[in-house]
Amino acid sequence: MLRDITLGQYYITESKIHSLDPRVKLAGTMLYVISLFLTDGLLGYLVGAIFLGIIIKISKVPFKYMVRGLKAIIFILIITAACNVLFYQGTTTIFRAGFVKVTVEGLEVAAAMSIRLVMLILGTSIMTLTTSPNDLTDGLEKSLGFLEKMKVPVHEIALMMSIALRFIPILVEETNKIMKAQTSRGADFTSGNLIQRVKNYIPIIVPLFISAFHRASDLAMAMESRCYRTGRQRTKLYPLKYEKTDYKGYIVIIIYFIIMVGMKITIEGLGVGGFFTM
Amino acid sequence: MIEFVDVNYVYGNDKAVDNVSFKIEKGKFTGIIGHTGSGKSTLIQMMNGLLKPESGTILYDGKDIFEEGYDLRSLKFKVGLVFQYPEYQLFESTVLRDVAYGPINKGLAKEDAVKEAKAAMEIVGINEDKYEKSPFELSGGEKKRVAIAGILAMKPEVLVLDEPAAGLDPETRINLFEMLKRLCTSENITVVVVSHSMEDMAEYAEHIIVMDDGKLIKSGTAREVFSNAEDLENIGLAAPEITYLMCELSKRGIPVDKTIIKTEEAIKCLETLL
Repeated sequence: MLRDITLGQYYITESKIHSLDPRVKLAGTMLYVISLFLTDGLLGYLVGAIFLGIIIKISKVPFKYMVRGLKAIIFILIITAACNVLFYQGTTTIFRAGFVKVTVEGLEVAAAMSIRLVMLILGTSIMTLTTSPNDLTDGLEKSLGFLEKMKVPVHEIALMMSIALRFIPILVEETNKIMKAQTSRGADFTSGNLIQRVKNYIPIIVPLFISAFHRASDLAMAMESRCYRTGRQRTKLYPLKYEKTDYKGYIVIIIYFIIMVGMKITIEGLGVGGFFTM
Repeated sequence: MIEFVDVNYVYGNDKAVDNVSFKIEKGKFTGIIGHTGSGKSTLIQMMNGLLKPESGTILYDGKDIFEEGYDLRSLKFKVGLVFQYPEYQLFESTVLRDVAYGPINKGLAKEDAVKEAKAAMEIVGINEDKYEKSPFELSGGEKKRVAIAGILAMKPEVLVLDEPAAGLDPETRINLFEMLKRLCTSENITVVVVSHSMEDMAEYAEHIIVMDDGKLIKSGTAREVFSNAEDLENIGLAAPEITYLMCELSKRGIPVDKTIIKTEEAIKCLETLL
């Protein structure tokens, strides 16, 4: 159950995307997300999808593996689509029952939203799948370094993030062990009404929290006894440095972004918006 | 009581348990020894049905526990499994309520569950003044005993413990093993202990199962297993210190029994020589 979550999981292999500087991937993901929200035409989504497809191909992450991550959001997807279909206030009515009205515009918006959501998840998971948590926080720390001047503790936040990411697999394993121990005492997680079921999980949650606190305090102790301190004096063992391919990566993503923006402007300029009418 | 027939268990690509067959007899104290990663823990998690073997059968009282229709949940009350770290099971606000959790799950009324809990705590030697304390305030040894009480309160027929002595000081360890021995002899509970300590196993276990790399290497009485130190050394284990001493003495021409595995026996044997 817990193993199915791919969002935020690193897929270990070697590819051009994997070896890119995390800052390039961060910027790329950000521009990609913005481009998805800019477009509302079929052509825009098509270009976005093709671009995404190429990136997935280069990243060598099996498509099947990526789709597994989508399972987690399928529920949200269906609800958003249903809400849009049923409640969007369009003008061209197809079908009406009481206060519910299905319109062409509603269908359009629902389709556009679903496609956008799927591409959003796939696009962002490419980043987490090809970047190890450590690289990711390094990249974030460096790209947000300018905030340090505004007294934002960037390094501390990055450290907190990498520790949090580091703890996820440990806590998953711990949950497994605790569940086994409590199942051995006859704990039952499947019967009873909703409140009863939530209550059934208390014997899991309490030991899990206690062990997490213990681990946190042990880690703090270990860091302190090695004289860890934050601040500008810290240097890195592997400092981030741009290579030639990183500049190429920037160029590719910027070209993509310009195409998307250009399409948006020209299509609107011609006055032919809309999803099916384009 | 518990019987494994050609049991295999696979973790990813590793064979954690490789074609293992053995029997655990009713009312006996059985020890399972082996290195970390030899498959001991996997083995005991199959005993109460937590893990399902890839192939092979596990019988409890002659019945296949993974057969369709077998009540696996009630098996957990019959085969009580105590994990290595008591922290994984303590959660309630008081010790008494925590120990009563198992019996309540079993379906006992609250008063009966509390009665069972108190009885179990008497067996493990947790005094009444601890009942209303938080289980997290206790010392390591006390936590362990409370965790064992939590399982004992379910009145299991078999008690399985994973490394019960890990992290305990010598005195607490001896007390714990004495208690397990008492449970075995006077309460007629079948006890299965996974351990690293050859000394402890030699002292308390009647039957020993030796595991290495997922395979069952040896199964026999403690004396049979430990008197052959060489076989154990081949897989990186060892016989109890006292057995080595006896071997050394006999090598130097002192007529002692080389198969002695318990300190007490050794003392007796040496006393007769004086």
